[in-house]
Amino acid sequence: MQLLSSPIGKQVKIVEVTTDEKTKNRLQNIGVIVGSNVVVLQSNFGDIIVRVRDCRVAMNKDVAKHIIVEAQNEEITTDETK
Amino acid sequence: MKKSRQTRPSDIKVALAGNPNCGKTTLFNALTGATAHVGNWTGVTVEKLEGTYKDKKSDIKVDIVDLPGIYSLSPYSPEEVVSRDYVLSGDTDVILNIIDATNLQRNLYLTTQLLEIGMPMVVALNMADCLTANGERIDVKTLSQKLGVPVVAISALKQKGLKELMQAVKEQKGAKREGVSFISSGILKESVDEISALLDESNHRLFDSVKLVEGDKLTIQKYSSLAAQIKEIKDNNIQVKERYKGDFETCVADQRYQYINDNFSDIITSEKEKPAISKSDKADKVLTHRFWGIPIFLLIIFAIFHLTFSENLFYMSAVIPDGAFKDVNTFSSLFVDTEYEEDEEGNISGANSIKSPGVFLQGLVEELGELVNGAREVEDVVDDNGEAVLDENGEPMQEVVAEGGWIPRLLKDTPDWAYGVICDGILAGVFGVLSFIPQIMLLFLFLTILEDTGYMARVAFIMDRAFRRIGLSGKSFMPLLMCFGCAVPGIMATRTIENDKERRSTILLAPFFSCGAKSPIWYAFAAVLATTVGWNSELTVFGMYVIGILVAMAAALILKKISGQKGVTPFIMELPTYHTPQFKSVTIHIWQKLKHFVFRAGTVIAASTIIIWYLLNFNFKFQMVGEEASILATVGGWFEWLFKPCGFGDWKYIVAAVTGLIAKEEVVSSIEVLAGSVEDFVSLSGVTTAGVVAFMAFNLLTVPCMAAVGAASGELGSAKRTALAIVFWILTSYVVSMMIYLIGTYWWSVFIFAGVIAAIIVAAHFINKKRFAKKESELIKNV
Repeated sequence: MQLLSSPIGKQVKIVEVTTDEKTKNRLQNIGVIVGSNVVVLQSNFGDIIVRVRDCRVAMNKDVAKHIIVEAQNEEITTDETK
Repeated sequence: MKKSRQTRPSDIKVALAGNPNCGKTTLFNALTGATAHVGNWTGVTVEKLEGTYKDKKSDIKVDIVDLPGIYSLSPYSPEEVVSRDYVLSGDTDVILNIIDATNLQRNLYLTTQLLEIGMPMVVALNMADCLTANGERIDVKTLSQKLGVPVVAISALKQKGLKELMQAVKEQKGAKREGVSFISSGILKESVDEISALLDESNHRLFDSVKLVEGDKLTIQKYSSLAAQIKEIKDNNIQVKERYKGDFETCVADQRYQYINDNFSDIITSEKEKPAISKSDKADKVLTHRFWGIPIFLLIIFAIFHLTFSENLFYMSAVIPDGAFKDVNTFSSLFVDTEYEEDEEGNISGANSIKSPGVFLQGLVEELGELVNGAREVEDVVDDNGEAVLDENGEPMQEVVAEGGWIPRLLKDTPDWAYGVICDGILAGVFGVLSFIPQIMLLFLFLTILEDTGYMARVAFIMDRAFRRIGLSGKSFMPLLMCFGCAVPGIMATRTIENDKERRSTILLAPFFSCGAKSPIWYAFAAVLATTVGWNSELTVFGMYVIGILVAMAAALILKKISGQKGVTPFIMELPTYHTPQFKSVTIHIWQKLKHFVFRAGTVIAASTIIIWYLLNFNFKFQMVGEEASILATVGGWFEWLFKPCGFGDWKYIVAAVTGLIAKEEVVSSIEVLAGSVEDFVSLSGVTTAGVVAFMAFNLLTVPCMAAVGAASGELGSAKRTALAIVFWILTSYVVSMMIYLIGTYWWSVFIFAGVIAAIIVAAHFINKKRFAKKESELIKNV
């Protein structure tokens, strides 16, 4: 599933990042890497704001569609730091 | 004795490194007493700043270099290169890494990389007090043990813990520290060790080894001779091949975050459970909403302009009866509009609106100007029949009608030229500029508050989609928005844009965003247009900003077509948590801006008004003559034909626009010198309303002030590009003002312009298609 189609407020886990190298590097620096848990907070015609490791990251549609995520167990939605 | 102490070189030199928006610039200001500009978004520091910390008691003197905020040491944008190069240059004694306690894990990502450099280091743990206020606890001692360097809890904003921090820095000076890596175990250890064995002994040996494993381009270039061996070592790492598909970069990042998560997640303990959705997130639900986001932003911007420029606050005149304020006293007239019209039946209209804070403050300064420099008015004495009374020499007798302000009264017996140079030259020019300070200050105040709360970063996000259509990203939005304040910091902030083409386009567009110094021009002319053609002055001013934005959009589209650029850099940006604006940082910012403005009014502008006054009152033979025969009139006259199609082919207009190159506020002060007042300037010249608007647009879009040209030249990086930029600005301003004048005069000319523009876009499209087709075929040939 692409991150941009992830339901708002649900925690998901990043399984693959298929952007170009430069963008990938940028995402890494800001903490968005394979294995991170993220929650989509806002979706704006595909441009999204996600929460990752207690910070908010905004990204546009082109980035969001290259981040592949998988759904997580519902129970840990409230606390992704664990 | 005292002097020798001040010139004594500093004991310690420190590089201040940290994530964007972690309080780094605030700490720098607190330590050095400097007033660098702090904003609640990333990329405020684009150049390294230097300052000195002094403490008399303990006799510590520390030189501090504030580096641009960075997330990691894998340089990705120019600002990250600046920071990394400087830290690695070995120019400093100690690295001071500031980290935000409220966002510990992400900040430690950079810290673990800095630790790999074999240099003494101190960690400043900022905003720890915010955590305790939330009922959380942070274990500073354990953090220090785990990192292996001193950690000092501070509050940059409240200036707490700074002395202890500097003491720790002093103790670290000269200390030997080996680089430490998080990769002391795990799947990367072997590769790092093997590569490290190939490198020479140096204090960034470990750092370089890790970067080589990671595949960092700059480091690979540095060790290009070892490329084959490094490749072999990396190829031998089967685990990375299996688990990360051979992607070492992701592997290093993942291992780093894993390490941070494993070791530092128990540093912060919380008694309360954190809410799933914070207040900040709730605010974002509305402010970044896909439908409401942009209207809310426009509403906020409109409110700011209304409070700054409106003559009719909250449109109260709709409920206040006409003539309500017609008889108020002088003091009250500062707050309300007292002007009214009376028709034949005695009905009164007007005098029923309240002034906005901006207009009120402006009136206050104008009153002050009148008090100091009110003109001395002299009239011919007439007898009962209305004929001039002659004195004994046969000349008309004169009497003083108005004594004027303090200075004119003081100088009433001085010769004409001295009176002229002081009152009509310097003072008229300087007060012309000063009277706009209140409004500029208010505008800065509002923009600073928006920036400080963190809202501006959201605006970049909601504007990104729109910007993408014209070939720019939301990243260009922040620098361009800064240009509403001043184009110089705006142009410098373009360094945060990674893509070169986008960056250059943004610089070219910068002057179109009407800066604070240009607002005096709009305001002065709007007042005139209000009386001559009855235009709402608030809308006129707002309209100039809109023209600037529209032209910028059109220009961006054309630039995109010309450069044949495809795709826009992806938008990825951290959104800071909303916070209430800090009184201190807001006032520092405004004061800094104002200081600059007032300083210019007192120096450059005062000096140039004298020169203009001279050029306007003397001819080439150094004789004092009337304005019509002056040097300026002659030279300006040579160019009148050029501006005839723009509707302002009058030497006074040309001279006023040219003086704008010194500083844009100069345009108004030149006009005051040239014609006494803007009103006379317009009415005596015979320029039509369309011509006046064209003139305003010309000033909006043409070459910015020299300071901005200098900044642009620095960022564009070559004389050729700077020259092209200047040509671009001149062309744009000329063409647009011509369009405005011609369309305003002959409405049907709109079709001609539409046709020409469409033809240019179509032509550019086909030329580019051909150009790229050629490039592609060349590529194929080469292969």
